Amino acid sequence: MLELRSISKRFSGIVAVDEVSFSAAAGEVTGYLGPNGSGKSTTIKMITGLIEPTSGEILFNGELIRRDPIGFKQRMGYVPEEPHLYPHLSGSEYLTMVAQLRDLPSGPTTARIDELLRLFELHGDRHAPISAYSKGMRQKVLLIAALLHNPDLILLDEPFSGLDVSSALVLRSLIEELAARGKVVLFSSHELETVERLCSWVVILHRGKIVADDSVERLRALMALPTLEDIFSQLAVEQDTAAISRQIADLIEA
Amino acid sequence: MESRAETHFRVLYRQFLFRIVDLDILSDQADIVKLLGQFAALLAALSLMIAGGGFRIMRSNAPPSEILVSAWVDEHSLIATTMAVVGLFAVLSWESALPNQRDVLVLAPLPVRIHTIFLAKLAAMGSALGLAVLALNVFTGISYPFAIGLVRGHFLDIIRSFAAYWITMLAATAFMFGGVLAMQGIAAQVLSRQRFLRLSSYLQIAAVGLILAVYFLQPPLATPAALSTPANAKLVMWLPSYWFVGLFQQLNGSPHEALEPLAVQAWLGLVVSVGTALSTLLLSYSRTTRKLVEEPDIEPGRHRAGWSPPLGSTLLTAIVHFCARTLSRSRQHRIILACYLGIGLALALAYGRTLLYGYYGYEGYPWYEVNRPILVATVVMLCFAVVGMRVVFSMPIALRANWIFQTVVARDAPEYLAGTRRTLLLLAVAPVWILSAVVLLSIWPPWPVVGHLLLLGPLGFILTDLCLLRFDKIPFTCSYLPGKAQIHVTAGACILVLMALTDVGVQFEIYALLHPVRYVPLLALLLVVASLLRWRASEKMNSPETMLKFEETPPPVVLALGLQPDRAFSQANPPGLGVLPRGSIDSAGSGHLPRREPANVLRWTMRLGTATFALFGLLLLGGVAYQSVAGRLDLSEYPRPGRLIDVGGHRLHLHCTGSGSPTVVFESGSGSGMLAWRKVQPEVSRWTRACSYDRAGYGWSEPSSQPRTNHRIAEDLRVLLEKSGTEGPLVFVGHSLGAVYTQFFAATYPDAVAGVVLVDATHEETFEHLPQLSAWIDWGMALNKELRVAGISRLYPQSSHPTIRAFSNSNKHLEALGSEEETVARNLAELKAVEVSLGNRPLIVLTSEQTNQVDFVRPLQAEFLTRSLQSKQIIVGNSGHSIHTAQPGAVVAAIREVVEVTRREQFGSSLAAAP
Repeated sequence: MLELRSISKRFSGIVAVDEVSFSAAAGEVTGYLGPNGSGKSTTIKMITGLIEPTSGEILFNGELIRRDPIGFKQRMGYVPEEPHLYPHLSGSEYLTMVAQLRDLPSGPTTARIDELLRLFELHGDRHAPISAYSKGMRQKVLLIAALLHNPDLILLDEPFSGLDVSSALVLRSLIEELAARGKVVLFSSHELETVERLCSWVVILHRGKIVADDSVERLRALMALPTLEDIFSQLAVEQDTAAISRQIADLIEA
Repeated sequence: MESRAETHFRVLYRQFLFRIVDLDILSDQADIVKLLGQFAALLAALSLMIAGGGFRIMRSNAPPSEILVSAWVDEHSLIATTMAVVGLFAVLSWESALPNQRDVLVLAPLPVRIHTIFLAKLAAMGSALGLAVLALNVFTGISYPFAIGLVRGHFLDIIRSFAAYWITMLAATAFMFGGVLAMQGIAAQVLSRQRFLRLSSYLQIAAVGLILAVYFLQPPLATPAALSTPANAKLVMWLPSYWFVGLFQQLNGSPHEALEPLAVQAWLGLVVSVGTALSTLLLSYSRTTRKLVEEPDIEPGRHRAGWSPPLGSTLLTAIVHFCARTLSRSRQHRIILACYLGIGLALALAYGRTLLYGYYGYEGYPWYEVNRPILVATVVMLCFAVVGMRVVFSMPIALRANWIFQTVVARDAPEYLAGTRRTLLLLAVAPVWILSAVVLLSIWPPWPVVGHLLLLGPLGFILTDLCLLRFDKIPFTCSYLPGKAQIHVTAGACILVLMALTDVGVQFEIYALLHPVRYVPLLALLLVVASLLRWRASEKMNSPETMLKFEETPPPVVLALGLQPDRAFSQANPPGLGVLPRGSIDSAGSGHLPRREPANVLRWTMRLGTATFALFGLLLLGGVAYQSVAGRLDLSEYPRPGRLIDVGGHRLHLHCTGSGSPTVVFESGSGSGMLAWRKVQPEVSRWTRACSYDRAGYGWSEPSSQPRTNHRIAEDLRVLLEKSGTEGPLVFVGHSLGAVYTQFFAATYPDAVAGVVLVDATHEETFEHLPQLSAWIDWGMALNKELRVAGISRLYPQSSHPTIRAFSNSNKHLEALGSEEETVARNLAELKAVEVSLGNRPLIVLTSEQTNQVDFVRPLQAEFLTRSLQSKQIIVGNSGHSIHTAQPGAVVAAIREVVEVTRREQFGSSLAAAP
């Protein structure tokens, strides 16, 4: 289980994340939602160790991750929101490098990489430089890199971005499969339909604070709204989207 | 009202002008204007330094025709420098003229015509190039044409010279730039776009090497004598800088038969170069622009071998492979590395010039013997390879992709830093070492090569550890401060210090290589230093405070707003590996970010001064210790060719060869011994008897306690000749200061001298013409004499002859030299008072072309002719002061002429010597 206890992050007067506490259990897919600027990515970066919390604790399986950050990172797989990869390396070279950085044994890992590339339909382009990859291909490389070492905790930040329909379907099934095999899966996305379908538990963040932390069914019942999109709109969206659309159209026609 | 096309041209011209430098070399935030301004200032400073030569031409008293011919050397130097700078500029703005995908993608959707883009690019390049040439010639372009025009006498000649100068420079510029563009254009047409892109960066690097090699290694042929030989006449047809010397003379109205064909070559070359460049560029624009969007810039991947060599642990292997791939696939990094290697290559080639062409009278080294230039070249290339690679390591490849190193962590920081060190060793030190081994083993015997390589290895380790002392990063993964790429004045000073230290070190090394017993301490010293540095670096690396750095400075928002971390949290949670940039959380928990203090100029100046003083003190002490040991000469190691004869209190070494009459007696210059005549005496011995000797203290001769006056030296020689049974008639040959002794001997013992040859002789009035400098000379000589005890003589140009080298650095020799220098002024004054007159005895005065160019020396050399009724002067070309080593044939010929005249007068007929 991944547990966040009163995690806060302040950037000198600006509170990005404010006393956020939630947990993601093994065997479940936990959705982590929020509008842009809500502190979603900041929270995930604190979990991955890219930035340090101002206060609070993060525990994994009951142990503080700060006590053994290396050990924690060895059990964690992370797919970032932006597919930033080294463009001069080929897909195969990048994954080999990641495997070497994770100290995975050479022979079996090479075979594993090969097979994963095949399953993600990247095998034919494995020697091409990443700079020539489409966004979806880069996303696949990120996924493979995150799963290569059989992590216990998987953090996915907008994993469906850039994927075509068939790849998205594969990923959806994969997420379910991984959860079914006892992994902790924390999944952040703007695609509310997918979140609703995949996640058994949802945490909604708004302006750095948690505004919902419950199962989807209970949220629907509590708020008497039929879909997660409606719930999200009520809790986290402040704009009058129709009015804004009219204003934009009026401006360009002026 | 400006038309649309004019507006497009103006807007694009401005954009392209500021993009003239290859954008792949600079970071996105580089201040291009500042960088280009610094380049222009450097070029202008260079122009100012060289401009003084024009005033020298104006002050010359030689006949105008002679001045115009002697100015060829300066003209060639200016043209060659301009062409080299233009060539390097062309490399720096590589592919700026060609259409590129970035421009097409941005401009194609806009209503801009292709030919507008083409013209704007050409105009931008022409402007930038023109500014560079202007900066380089801003001062020389005034002083030289003015001087040359003034020499010809008419105001219109000055105007003509100005026109000729600038037209020549622009023509040379157009030729050079057009040539580089033509090379690119042809490659772009012949190869597919992907292959061209791959090959292009290697062509760029090869162009740098070629330009530097031609600039430094082309032979000095800008004299009529040099151009008159058939071999040289053929060679210059391949050296474009000489073509434009011919062009200048043609435009200036001072043509010379030796240069006329070169002028024609210049025009032809210009037409071909510019024509090819323009036509291939036009083809590029018309044929490839549309394809640029369709064809990818990168070739699709081919099957590659799955196996990559393991280089240690998996982590070390990952880092080394990552670095090697980044370097081989990132054009930006390769070009910057090539700049550093190019500077090293230029310095190595400048040294290589001495290998081929000698240096101020010292003949060139034979390349097949262990020599200083080649050894210095390997050390210089090693230094620049390591430093260049270290600089390139600082430049990120894809900053945002660094998250993978920060999140995928298997080991501690020291292991990552070990990977950095291994990468620098494998990618910088190893290639230079291997290349040095291959080249040196192919030209030299095994021992000196193995000895040098064994020293080069530890030196590589030392440089690596020094360069990585504060580098807590994985290469190519840390951010880089914008504006860091600036030309610093200190770089020049550092290069000078490096060259001086390398030169001294290599001289020590050569000495040690010749004596294996002395080699071991040198190797041991390097190994000890390397080990100490390694230990120091390990200590620092394994320190618990060491963290990997991914940001050069903390993110601006944190700096600007003053981050106030939770003190309790920071104390309870020490930062983990790679989580935060160093310093972003104060480990004392004060909550304040460490501020960057502004540079304290005074403090740094004092530090620099102290370090410099300490360095010189160490060098001095080391030099004294070294000289006291190494300066002891073991004469048994150098078998003498002649015999030792007691002249009263000390023995002098005399070496006589051949038979016949008259006997030729050689008197060498200050600081020289009989070995100076090694290229002349054997030839003379073939048709008469020839004797050379070492004055007291020099060579194999014993030192004398008596002051080295004219009288004492003449008396020593008289006794030496008498006791050796050498009888008259005698023909004396005196070089430099030796000519003073020769003339004094002739004046003191006139009956003994049948003829005289003076070889670049020192005139007794020399110092009178340098009233200002003589005080400096005194001071310099005094300081120089004091520093000889510290082995300073080893820093000066050394003879390539090992025995001469060993003698001239020995304590015995240096003391004798000091004694001789103390009496120079007195001896010159004494000779002047004597008023030498040889009467009817033949006298030939050999003056080197280089010496004859000095204005006040020319009439003094001519004055020698008045000392005999049978005299002549020969100006010897392609020679410095030591004509007898640079052009021994000229000396032999002069001696033969005097000998034959002497024989005719002595015996009434010419005795033709056997060939």
